Amino acid sequence: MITARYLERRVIYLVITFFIAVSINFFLPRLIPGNPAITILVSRYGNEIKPQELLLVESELNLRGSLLHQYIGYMVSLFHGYLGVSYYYYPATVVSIIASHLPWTLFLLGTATILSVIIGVSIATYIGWRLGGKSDSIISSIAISLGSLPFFWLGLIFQIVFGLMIVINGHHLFPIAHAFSANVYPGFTYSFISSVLWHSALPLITLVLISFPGFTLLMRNTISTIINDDYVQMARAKGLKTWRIKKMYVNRNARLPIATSVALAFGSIVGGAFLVEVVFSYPGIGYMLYESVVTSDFPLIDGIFLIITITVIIANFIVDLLYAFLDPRVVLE
Amino acid sequence: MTETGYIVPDASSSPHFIKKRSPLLEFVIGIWKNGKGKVGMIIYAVMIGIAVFGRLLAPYSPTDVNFPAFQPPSLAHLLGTNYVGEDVFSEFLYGTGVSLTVGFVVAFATMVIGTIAGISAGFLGKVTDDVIMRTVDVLLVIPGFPLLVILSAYLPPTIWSTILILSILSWPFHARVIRSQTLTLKRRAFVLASKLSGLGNFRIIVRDLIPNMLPIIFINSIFVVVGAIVAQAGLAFFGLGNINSVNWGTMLYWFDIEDGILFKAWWWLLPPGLGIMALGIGANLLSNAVSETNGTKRKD
Amino acid sequence: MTGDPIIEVKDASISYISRREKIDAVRNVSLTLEKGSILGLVGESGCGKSTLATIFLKLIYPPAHIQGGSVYYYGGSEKTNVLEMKPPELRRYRWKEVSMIFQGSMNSLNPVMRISDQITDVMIDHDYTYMEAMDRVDSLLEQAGISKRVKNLYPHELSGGMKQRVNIAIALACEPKALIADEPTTALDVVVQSQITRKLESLRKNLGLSILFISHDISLVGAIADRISVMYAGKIVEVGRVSDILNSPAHQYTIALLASIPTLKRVEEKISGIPGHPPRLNTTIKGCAFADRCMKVQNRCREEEPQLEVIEGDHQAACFFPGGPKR
Repeated sequence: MITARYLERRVIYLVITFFIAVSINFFLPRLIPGNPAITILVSRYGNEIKPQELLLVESELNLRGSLLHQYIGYMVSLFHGYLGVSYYYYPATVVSIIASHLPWTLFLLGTATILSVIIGVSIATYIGWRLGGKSDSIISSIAISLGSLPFFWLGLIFQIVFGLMIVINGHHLFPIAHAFSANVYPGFTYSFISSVLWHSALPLITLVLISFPGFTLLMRNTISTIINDDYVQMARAKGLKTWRIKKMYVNRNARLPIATSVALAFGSIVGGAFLVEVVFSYPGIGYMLYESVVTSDFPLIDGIFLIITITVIIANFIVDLLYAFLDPRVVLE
Repeated sequence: MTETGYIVPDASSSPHFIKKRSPLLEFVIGIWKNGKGKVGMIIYAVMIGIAVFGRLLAPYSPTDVNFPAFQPPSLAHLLGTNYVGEDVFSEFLYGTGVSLTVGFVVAFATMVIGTIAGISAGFLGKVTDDVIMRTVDVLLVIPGFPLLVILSAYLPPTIWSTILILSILSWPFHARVIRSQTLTLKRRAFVLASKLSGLGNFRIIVRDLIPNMLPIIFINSIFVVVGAIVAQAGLAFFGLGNINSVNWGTMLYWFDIEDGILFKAWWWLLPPGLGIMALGIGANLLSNAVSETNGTKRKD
Repeated sequence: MTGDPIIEVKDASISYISRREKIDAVRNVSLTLEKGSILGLVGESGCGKSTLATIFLKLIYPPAHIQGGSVYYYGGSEKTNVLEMKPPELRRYRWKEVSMIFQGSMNSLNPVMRISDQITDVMIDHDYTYMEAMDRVDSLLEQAGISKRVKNLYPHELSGGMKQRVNIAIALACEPKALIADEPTTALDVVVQSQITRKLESLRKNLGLSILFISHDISLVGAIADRISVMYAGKIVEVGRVSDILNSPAHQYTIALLASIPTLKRVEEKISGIPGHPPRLNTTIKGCAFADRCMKVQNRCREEEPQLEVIEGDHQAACFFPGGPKR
């Protein structure tokens, strides 16, 4: 049950974690030895660095002044939604880069999570009633094997198999890179949307194939625990109709564990999505992170990291609220 | 149950025996007897064997580039050759050692740090608990993989950096689990009995708590092994970590960079992935075996 | 008490079967619950009474298996074997004809449903209309002796005693003819115990409900039952009217059981327990199952298994050397 007190505590926690994450993000890059301003100038202009230029770049990068001064400056610009300018994509701002790439990642994550949950729950409910039987053992074994595969590895396999090996009518079955074909323009046109869907097929299949097993197993265990609980026995004794037992006694009690499982699964799907984006050159922020690390584009690295952290914190907050909503017993911490 | 040992009478029905055999040995034997556990143990034994003796078994040196590149599997090269002509089979044998080392070292560090932290938090309570758990919370909130990538960007690209980062990220979860176990066990009668008989905290922890937590410590650790190996492979794939080292992750890195895809060199791609899958399956089997033989003893 | 049966169990056997062993929890048990009467089933933990309790609504699921026997329900004029009912018939029979109160009320209620919903859902699935069901909730709660305000609460907001009363209200919802009460008061404090027991008695009086009261506490059972069956190691070892059982117990186990109850009246009485423990039921037992703990054991007891024999009238016991000093 969501009480005012619960909400209050959660919000306070949210703000504090926010603060800590942001601070860590501030300090982390400043821990590396060396002056990034020098690194940039050297990489572009060689060893001849004019002092004024150095000053300029350093101010730009918020490296001048006392640490406190920098910190405040950082917080202020954060407040204004300014995350700096990318080195590699100069003069594009970090915010603009992230904004243009984030939607693709969200698309992948959202679709993959929803599909994994749906498939996972369906299979789990199916075998939940047939525990210990043949279908249970088979499905569980497959689930364990699939779930143990590394995301990027499976992605590569799919690229070879579906992208290159399987050829139908002279065309490869699925595209193996990018979000949409080069000859298509973004817009609500059929050609664009179908291109997007086609291109997202392999990344999504990879993600879902490895994510849904973990989910299935979690759900299966949850359902088996619930079915053995006394109140389910009582529901049977009451002569309730089967659909009612499934709906009100089993499924309702599974809601909280499902939420927990989704939260857990989501975390792993996020990690998986990053890897998959790199393998398929899918232009989400995972791919951008990879690129930024490879090109030592520190503002971008920081910016992406911050966004990710903030998103996770918010997500946790929402999940906590969801918990309280789903289970009448959850009142306080 | 006939045990060679004494049963300490106490108020609760706890699996607390003073055994003549060490609980560790009992634990391992229990797993071996279980069918699934047996398979799991065999998988790991084989893998560890390869890790340790790989060098001796490899037909060639993995850096020997005198062979033709991109050759499919043949009698001379059981797993073919890679982009530069190195024998994949030898690479795999050598690489297993590094990958598994990462896995086990990280798991060991996690186990030690996590268990100490968890027990301290649960057992000593109050301030210790608060401090440790806040740290754990913060570390858990931050998303793992991105953090991994970023830290790798900042630290020197060696295997040990990787091990360090992975350990830092793995212990919080374990600590949390151990802490709740400690809290549960703390109230059990046999712990109170030990306290009343004047045993010091440390001895209580060692004698009472740890033996009963062995199953969960083991299960968590085995999954950390696999997780760490996968994470290291992922990082290597990204080009982070030491790209000159020979391990499963770097095999995949070079595969990607050198367009193994275009050459459809599946023989180069398969071994690391299957290796990881085998370990993953083994981990699941072992953890199932452990819960079957141990966890269900405590039915309250 | 009309002497007409409402439920009759004949030679029921239930076993728990796993890969390693087979445990015969209930062995050839027969008993009869008469209309409008209270039958007490008494036995210690592990004697099989709780397993037996599940048979009336055919709630037997693996690893438990019915090995034989019948459970006849006398609904109207004809008798039907519950164990042979097809699922639809079984579903309609459950709760409408015979309902149950389970042991350990803590977990019998669904934690995510409100109390009133848990009372009405069973009515709705047994062909009451929604309006009828809603109307009955209040009177049911009143009959069970609990305030109407619990209607909108969740189970975790109630105390143990309150939860058990809710269970009683639910049990009465579809106006059953018989009620199986499996250890309804264990895990509750003594005061509540007595209240619940009295409540059951008044239900019999007011509604003509036939009740099977299962408990390990013979004094509790003796307070309200008309007849008592004593169970040991999966078998019925004695059965008879409550006055006969309490005053002139025949089976050695019953005698020992009664002797071990401290009473408030005779303060300086020696309290005795029964030495040893009941046999594990995973092997067939030769002779009388109580032999190892019996004071009056003879060779015959270990060779032959005693069957229920008439002691006097409708008082039966399965003992070769029944009787002891009268209380």
